Amino acid sequence: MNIEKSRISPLQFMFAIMCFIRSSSLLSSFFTPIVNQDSWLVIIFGMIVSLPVLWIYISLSKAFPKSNLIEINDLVFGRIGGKIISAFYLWFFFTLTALNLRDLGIFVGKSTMSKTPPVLIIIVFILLCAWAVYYGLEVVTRYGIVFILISSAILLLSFLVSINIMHRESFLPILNQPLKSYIQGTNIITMIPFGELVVFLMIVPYVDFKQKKLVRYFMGGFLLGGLLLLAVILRDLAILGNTLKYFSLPSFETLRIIRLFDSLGHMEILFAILLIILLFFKVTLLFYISLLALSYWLKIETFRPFILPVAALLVAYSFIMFESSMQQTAFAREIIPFFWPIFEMLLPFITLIVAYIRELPKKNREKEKEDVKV
Amino acid sequence: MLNKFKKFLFLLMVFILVFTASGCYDIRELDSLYIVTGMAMDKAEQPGLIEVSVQIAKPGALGSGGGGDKKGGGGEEKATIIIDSVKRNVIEALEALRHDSSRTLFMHHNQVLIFGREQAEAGILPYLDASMRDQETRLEVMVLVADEKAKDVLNTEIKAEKYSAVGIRRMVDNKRSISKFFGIDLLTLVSKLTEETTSPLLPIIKIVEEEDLTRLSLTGMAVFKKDKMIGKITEYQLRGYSWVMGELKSGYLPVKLKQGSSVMYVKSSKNKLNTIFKPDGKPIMSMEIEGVFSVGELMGFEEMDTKQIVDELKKGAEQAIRKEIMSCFKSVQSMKADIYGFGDYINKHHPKKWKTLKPQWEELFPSLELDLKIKVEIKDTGKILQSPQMEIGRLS
Repeated sequence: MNIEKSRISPLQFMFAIMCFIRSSSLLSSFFTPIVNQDSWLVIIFGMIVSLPVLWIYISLSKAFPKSNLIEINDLVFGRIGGKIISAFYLWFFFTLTALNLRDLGIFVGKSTMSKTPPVLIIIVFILLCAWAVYYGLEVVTRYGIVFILISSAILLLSFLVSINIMHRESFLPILNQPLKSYIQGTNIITMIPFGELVVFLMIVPYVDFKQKKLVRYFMGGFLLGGLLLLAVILRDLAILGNTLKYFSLPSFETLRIIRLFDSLGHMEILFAILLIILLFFKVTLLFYISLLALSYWLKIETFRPFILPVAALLVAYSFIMFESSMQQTAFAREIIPFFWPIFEMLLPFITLIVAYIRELPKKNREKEKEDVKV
Repeated sequence: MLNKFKKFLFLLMVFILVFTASGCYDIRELDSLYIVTGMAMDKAEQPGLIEVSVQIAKPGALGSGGGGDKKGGGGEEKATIIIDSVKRNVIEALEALRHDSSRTLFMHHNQVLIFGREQAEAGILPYLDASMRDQETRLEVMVLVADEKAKDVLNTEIKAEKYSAVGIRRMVDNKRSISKFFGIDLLTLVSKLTEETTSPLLPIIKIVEEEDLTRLSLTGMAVFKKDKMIGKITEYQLRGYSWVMGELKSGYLPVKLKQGSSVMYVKSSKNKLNTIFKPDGKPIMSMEIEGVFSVGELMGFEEMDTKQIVDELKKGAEQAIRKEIMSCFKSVQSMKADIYGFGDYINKHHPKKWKTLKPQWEELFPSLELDLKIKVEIKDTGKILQSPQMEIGRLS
């Protein structure tokens, strides 16, 4: 069974990871009110904490280089156990997709089209995503590099034109808050953009690289993406200072404030463009991964007939998920940090341990050698 | 053949969709809008209510040349309308205005937010939320306090400007070229209010009645404690404040000496703030202020050569700066208002010490000591090297 026939280059894979992390900078308001001026530190902490988690992912995909997450589950936990665990993952992937879809609908509404019903925006958007997903992984990831270039160019530009309104004092005092808030902030940042990299376990087998290079590209994407995220927070913090915690879209307000002379100002439309292209990438990737997981779970040959029904389900799901944006922020702050680790740490870790206890990686390697001989 | 037909059908669909399905969902035409240029908030006569007035660019006057053709028309017709409403909340009042008029309010171009004096004294914080939360308003709107009633300020015409709110904004911008602290936008105000011990300042705008015209003038700053106005500082004292904040970019400094007097232009200023802690834990704010000047005008100084004059001027300028700083500092000390954000500075640079200082800051600030080191540099004497007066003095 082999649904995805195209292969992507390691570089595309790396840019996909970068884009995936970068798009989370739109969600910085989940942790900015908790840690205020130390928001940037929390990102660094989050990156450090995420390293062992990434190690789990990398070891898993090294142990089973030819299988995606759903197949790994089948191999490790047997047919029935694998199906059950995969069902959890399936739910997780769908929820992530729907969450990001919802974010897009709300953010576009908040930032530019305040009176357009979000459902319209979301439907148009998911149709575009469905179109990309129809053509498979290669198309889904192809534009990662372009999006990263555009977003980095906008970031650089905004840095250059806002140097005069940045305040060094915004970052002080450093590390002067209760330990609890650092733990909470680090947890959120680890769970929301970095831990979500678990979805990439679904596409690693379709990347064209040699075993050893996997670490380099996986880590490279993670570090570069993290640095971009850090740069965004540093800019917002330097400009907004202690008012950072008030805004639900700090980057949007930052770009709104920046102005060059009297005429050239109000660059928030750049933010809107950025928001749409980055979330397009993220939602498309998540949508694709959900469908891939679904088809492997059901053991069907192609997911194409499922694209539109699943899209419809996602739109509905994203709407019934929360009643208000306050509820969503509360969910992100209070529930995700305890719930997501199950999918992002616990399950992968158990899978890895069980795999090693059953000595599957060794058998796998031997089997592969035999395959080559044959 | 079929393929071609399919392609044609596809293109046709694209065309039809592009021309019919595109467009703005919440379209608002210019002639259905009231473009708000200024907003004023006054305490209403009834307790607990607020009077919100908005200045609207008159639809007919929009786009018809600058202020120039007003004179030609002969009739002194105003280019703005003021509408107001008394309600409990800002949004309530704005909604009332929205529904009570033929057009909808368009807030994107709001230039100024003026609080009436009585409202400023009663507290402004509850009324800032709406301006921050609304999607149409911007954070760079200038916030001011009217000397009396804010609505009257909006009602006063400015000679060269068509819309007085735009005029007020330009007045503030002009002042801001001296030092950025002369005008405060909403973001800065909120930022200062967020620093727990800092007292924000807001410029005061006053209606000046002269014989045949009434005009507006910016005079000094209102000092706030938390969000309530408690006093004023003058323009002179405000310069003292700007020296401490290290943000004086232009303006002048009059220097009076025994031998003569001079006016010097401020080129730039810098301040290095530092905190020294006395053995008993009390802080002293130490500053190294550096001012760069050029000579604007000299009077007197007979029989002195340039070097002597420069030395004298340096001493004089140092004195003058010290006086300006102390005048402001003494005045706000008596108000117990930490307008400089010294408390916040200690919090940022010595967070551990701040924990013990914070509860007693209210008592500490009035007795706080300053340690001033002022360095004056005179870079330029202007177009002439010696004053004609000096020459004459030497000859006689």
